[in-house]
This record gives sequence, C-alpha cells and structure tokens, in this order.
Amino acid sequence: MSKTILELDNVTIRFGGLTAVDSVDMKVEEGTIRALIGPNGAGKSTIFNLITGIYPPTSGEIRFLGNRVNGLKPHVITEMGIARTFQNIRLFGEMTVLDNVKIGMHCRTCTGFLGALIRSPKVKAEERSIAEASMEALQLMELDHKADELAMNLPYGEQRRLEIARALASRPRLILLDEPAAGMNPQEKQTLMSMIRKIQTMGLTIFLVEHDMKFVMNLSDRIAVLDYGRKIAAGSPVEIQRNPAVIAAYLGKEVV
Amino acid sequence: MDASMLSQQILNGITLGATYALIALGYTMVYGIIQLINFAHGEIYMVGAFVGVLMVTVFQQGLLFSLAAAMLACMVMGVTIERIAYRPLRRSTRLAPLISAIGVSIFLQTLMTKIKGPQPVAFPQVINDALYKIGPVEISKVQILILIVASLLMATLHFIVKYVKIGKAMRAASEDYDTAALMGINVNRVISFTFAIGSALAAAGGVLVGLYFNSVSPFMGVSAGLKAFCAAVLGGIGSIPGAMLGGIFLGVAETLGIAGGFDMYKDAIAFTLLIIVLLFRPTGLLGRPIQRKV
Amino acid sequence: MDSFFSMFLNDYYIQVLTMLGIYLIGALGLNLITGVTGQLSFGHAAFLSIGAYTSAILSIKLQMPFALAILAGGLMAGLWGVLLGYPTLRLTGDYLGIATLGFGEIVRVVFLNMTITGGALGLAGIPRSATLTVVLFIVILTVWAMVRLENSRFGRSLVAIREDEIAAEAMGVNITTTKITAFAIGTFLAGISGGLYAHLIQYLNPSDFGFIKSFEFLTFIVLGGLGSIPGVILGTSVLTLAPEFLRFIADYRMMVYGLLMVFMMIVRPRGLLGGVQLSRIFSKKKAQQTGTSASGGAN
Repeated sequence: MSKTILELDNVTIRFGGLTAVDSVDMKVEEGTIRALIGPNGAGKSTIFNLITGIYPPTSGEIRFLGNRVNGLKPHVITEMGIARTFQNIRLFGEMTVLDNVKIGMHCRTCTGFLGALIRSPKVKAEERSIAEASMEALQLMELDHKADELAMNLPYGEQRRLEIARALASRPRLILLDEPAAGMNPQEKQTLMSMIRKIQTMGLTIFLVEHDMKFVMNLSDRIAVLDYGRKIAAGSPVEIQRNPAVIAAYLGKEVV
Repeated sequence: MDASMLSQQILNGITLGATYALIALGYTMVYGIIQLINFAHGEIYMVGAFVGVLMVTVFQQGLLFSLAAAMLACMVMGVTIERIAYRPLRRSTRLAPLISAIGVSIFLQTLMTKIKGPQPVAFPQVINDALYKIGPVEISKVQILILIVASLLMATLHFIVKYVKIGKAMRAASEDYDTAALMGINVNRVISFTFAIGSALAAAGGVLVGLYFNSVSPFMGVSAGLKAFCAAVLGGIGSIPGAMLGGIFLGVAETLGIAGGFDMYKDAIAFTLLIIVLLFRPTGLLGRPIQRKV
Repeated sequence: MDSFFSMFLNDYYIQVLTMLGIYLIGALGLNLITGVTGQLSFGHAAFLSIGAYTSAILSIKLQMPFALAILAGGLMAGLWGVLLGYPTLRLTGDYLGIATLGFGEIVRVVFLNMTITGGALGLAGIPRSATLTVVLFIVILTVWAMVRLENSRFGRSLVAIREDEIAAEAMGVNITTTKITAFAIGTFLAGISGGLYAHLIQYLNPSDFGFIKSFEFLTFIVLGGLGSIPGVILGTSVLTLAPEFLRFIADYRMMVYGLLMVFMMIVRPRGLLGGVQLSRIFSKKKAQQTGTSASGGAN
C-alpha cells in the first residue's frame, strides 16, 4: 500500500444556504490515477477549488502529504506541489503558448524585478532553464511546434493540453485535471489518455474530474462518486459500474 | 452644535443629498446594465441647468415648464451620446468607452464655455426666498421644491422600474445582459431608455441646483458629477435604492462636515467616505457581495 | 548637448519636447499598472503631484541637488503607492479605479490646504533644472527598463495577472505582492515625472493635478494601445503634440480634441498599436529569418 498524498477529512462548504460539498472524506494514494465523477452540479469542481485554496472550506480539513492546506493561499499550495487545470479553460490568452508554460515555472524560480533589470549571468541562466523546462513540458503535451502562437488562437483541444503543460511546469506531485477531455473528439481523447498515463509514469499522482465514462473507466485506478455534494460511492471502476446508488444517481431513480 | 442647529444642518444636507441622488441614479442605472462609468453624465447635468436658465430668461417660461424642457432636451442628448459614442464600443475593451466618455465630457464642457463663457451665470430667482419655520428648523421655498420634485421623480422611477414593461426589461438586462437579450428583450432599446431616464433626472438635478445656489457654470458638472458618482458607489453601484441612499448620506455627511469646521476639506469628505466604505464593504452599502467565480 | 538641441529647435519646441518626455515617463509608469498588470488607476496625477511637491520643496527649502530631489520625489510617490495599494489592490476592476480616483481628489485637497505647498497660491521659485538632455536620458533609461521587465519572470507574472488573476494565483504567482510591486514601480515613475515637471515649469498648483490630468494619462496609454511600449510612446506623442498642431483652430481646439478622442476610440478601440510589443516585433523577425517559426501568432 503506497502512502496517502491527499486527504480530505469531513470537508464541507456552504454558499449561503446551499451546501455545495457535504462532509466529504477522501484519500488519494500517491502515484495513482483517481477520478471524481457525478452529475452536473454535484460539487466536483468545488472540491478542486477547495483543495487549491480558492475557497476555504466551511469546516473540515484538507491535508497534502500530511500537512494541512486549508487556509493557505492558492499560490502557497501550488508551491507545496499541487497544480491544476480549469474546467472552463483559463489560459493567459494574449500570451504566447511558451510564456503560458513559463508562468507555470514561476514558483520554482526567483528572479524579481531588480534581477530583471540587472540581468546578471545567474538571471540569464535561470531564464534559459525556464525556457528549456517549459519546452520540455510542451513537448510532452505535443505542443512544442506551437510555442510562439498566442494561446487564444489555439484550437480547443490544444488549449486543454496547454493547461496541462502549464500545470506540469510547476513540478507538482499531485495534478488536478478538471474535465481534461471535454470537447475533444475520440481520437484526441485517446492521445490525451496516453499522455496522462505518461505523466503517471513520471511519478505524479493524478486526480481528475471527467464526464466521459469510457475515459474515466479506462484510465482510473479508483473512482469516487459525488451527488448533491455528498460522496455516495468509492471503489475500483468495476465496483463503481455495479454500484446501485451510482446507477440511481445517474439515471435519476430513487435509491432503495 | 445644539440640537436645533444640528437638525437644520441635517435638513440642508438632505436637500443637497437629494440633488446628488438625482444625478447618482443615472450613473447607477447605466453602470448596472452596461458596466460603464459614464463620465459625461456630469456634463449632461450641467447642460440641463443651462437649458433651464435659457427657458426662464430667453423664453420667459415658468419654472415647471423650464424644468420639463430641460429634462426633455437632456433625454435627447443622453440617447444621442450613447448612440454615437458608446454603442459602437460595446464589445471592445472596458477602457475604450470610458475614454470615449471623457472625450464627450471635454467636448460638452468646452462647447458650453464657448457659448456662455467661462464665468458662472446667475439663475433667475423665480421663487421668492420666503422661509417657513417648522419646529426648530427653517425651510425655504426652494428647499421644499427640491424635496418635492426629487421625491416625485424618484417615486416615478420606482414605479417604472417595478411595474412598467420597459422598467422590468431594465431590471432583467441589469441582472444578466446576455440572458435578457436571449429572452427576446430588445437590449438596445432598454439601454436607450436607461440613458433617457438617467439624463432627464440629471437635468432636473441641474435646474434645481442652479436655483438653489443661484449659479450655473460650464464647470459645475465636474465636481457634482464626481460626487454623485461617489454617492452611487457608496450606495452600491447598480442599485437604484442604493443611489438614493448614497446621495442623501453623502449630502448630510458633507453638510455636517462643513458645519463641524472641515470646510477647507469639503471636497475630500466624499472621497474619504468612499474609500472607507470600499475597504469594508467593497460593493457599497446596498450592493450585493461578489462571489468569486471560478 | 542642450546647446546642440538649440541649434535646431527654438526654445518653444524644446519646451514642448521636454514636456513630452516628462509625460512619457509618467505614462510608462501608468502603462505598467494599467496596461501590463491590468489594474485600473484613475489617480495617477496624484502621484505626479506627490513627486512634484516633494522634489520642489527639497530643492527650494533644503537646496538639495537636483538628481537627489527628483529621486526623493519618485521614492515618496512610490511609498504612497504602496500605502494606497496595500489595502486597495484587493478590490477588483472598476472599484480599484474608483478608490484611486478618490485618493487623487483627497491628495489634491490636502495639498491645497498645506502651508508648505503654498496652498491655492501655489509654489513658485523652483529652479529650472529639467533640461531636454536630462529628460531624454531618463526617458531612454525608463524605456530600457520597461523592455527588460517585459521579457522577464516578473514581467510575465504581471501580464498573467492581467489575463486571468485566478489562473495566475493557481500557477503560483503571489498576486498581492506582485501587484503592489507593479504599483510601486508605476507610482515611482509618476513621482519622477512630477519632479521633472516641477523643475521645468518652476511653479506648482494643486489644481494642475486634478483627475482631469489622471484621465489625460489614461488617454495616452489607451489611445496608443494598452500594454504596448511603442503604443505608449506614440499615444503620448500624438496627444501631447495634438494641441500644438490644432493651434490653428485656436479656441475650438479642446472641442476638437474631445471629438478626436471619441472618434479614435470608435475607429481603433484597442488603440493605435494595440497588441504590439517591441520584443515580439524583434523575435518575430528573428524567427522569420531563420525560418524556425511554423506560423506567426501575433494579431
């Protein structure tokens, strides 16, 4: 049994009267691919926003590698080793593809504005290493030939991949992918799947939210199911497919 | 400051605040729908005051007729400005219409300076300066007029927004512009209507202020516009009751500040209040809190 | 070098060009705040006035050397930039603009009521030390610094904040300190610009630094093209020189100026050089020469 990288302990968040996430417990093992599924509005993206510090939970605790992360600012959490992509693609549209990935390297580098002015050999070396590492991340996502284009001019599928490249550049231990396959055609999804597996072999843990069941079932080691903010099931893909509560949630039947 | 003087100052503050509120309504309604700070709005108020003077002096009309004429003239002007200077920029960056608004403002100010000269013009005193005593406070005829006209106009606005079809469309567009358009609301018409109403209210404010302070100048729109805008933000920009509340609040605070010996800092009172409110309630007194959308 | 300029230009044109240079420094500062980082400021003139009064008072009262006085003015403006920025930069978009507008008006009223500034009478007797050579030197230095920032880790994080604050934060950018640093640099430049202005015009009055002046700077950078250094240079030049060219229509020139602003926005809402970056022009050329770029992405 490998060690737990991420742990959600009785996490709840309420927006006004709405309980978006309700006492969720979850453990993600290091080096695995974990999926979170559930109907629209079940609170999946909210869980990602809680983990990355965009919302503080109303109650409960989130631990990453044993350290409490709730209450920390998003950029600190990224520095600790959690990176993410967004469901509604949030690239820096007017920056080039390469510069988008370079921003991912931000928390692993240190040149401030004075350094930028002086541009010492050390700064130049850092800038070179940023460029090299960013190109590597682009190569991994097969986007290196688009490095000089503006991010907003990329087609949809490539924008999704660019988000992953940008997240990888921050050298995370855990990467959260929010609907990475949304809007892709079957062929693109196939490519993406092999890319995600490649990321896993690099030693990263992957936590993804996805609607495409075939994609999720093929890729994930373990799956958790969310409905109306509550975790209703967890297990291997086979277990989840047979789980009556899950089937009911998806088909809208009463749970007996 | 004793109690009777305090209540006198509060009354004066409310009168001043009512005029701020009339201008603030235009800012807040326009912002609510197209998120534009209409920096030319203060100039519309100034033009309204001049039209009032023109009607009373040259055309020898009565006050109410002059008021109506100023409102009508500014309605046309407001709609025209929107049509020419803002509508073509609706889908461009946020700053473009803002710069355009500043251009309109410079144009109107210099145009009026060209026509009437830079010196203030006296507003003919069509109302005698009789004072009435109500309990501890004195109220002048002009003040009564301002309070009555302002309340009537605001009540009418409330009625339109709440019960009339176009007013409901305004609320819908302010809630969600794109959805309102999808639901078949003619958004362009709603925006024109919003500019018409906002400009008419500002014109009324201009005539009343001209009468109250007995002076009208091409530059009166600058500081009044900024303060009314403060009032709109204080109350919560986009909120109609907020603009009314913000206007009154600001008027009273300013009058009390002057009475309290801060007259040198008179123009800073509004902005100091503004910054304090923004820091503690970033969306104003009656504004809805913003939820971070991811 | 000043005598060199006076061989070609009469005093009036030298004065206009010096003023243009001074405005450029301030405009580049505002461009860093609003154009590059995307933080709306309606109070830039206030920081000019802080720099102007600080340096002028140091020059007059303490006979401080010109260079030191200018630097002190810049630092004072930058300090106030940080003091204002710290609580207000968490406000988003228009609210930040409104708060800076309020700050600008407060600063003006405070200067109007201080004794050391001469109040409404103004402050006279400032030495005329800002020559065209000095100003030109500082302009070149500023442009050089801005180009260097544009292509650095720091510069990228500023643009990322403008493009998407939440994503920038999620990528590890500390948005609070980054924004404040940008604000500090931008207001520092405003202070330098104000100090030079004081030492050119030799007289200061709070009413010269009202919100109209702040909007003038905003217009410089928007007309030129937000975030683009060549755009800022072009926009500032066009608008500073336009009233000179419009002199033949005498009294109507401000009216025409207002109409031109509206017209320019309608014709080119993204500014004359919107989206043009010096570094990108060069890098694109390089890429085309070596033929490595598969396709140019700029628009």
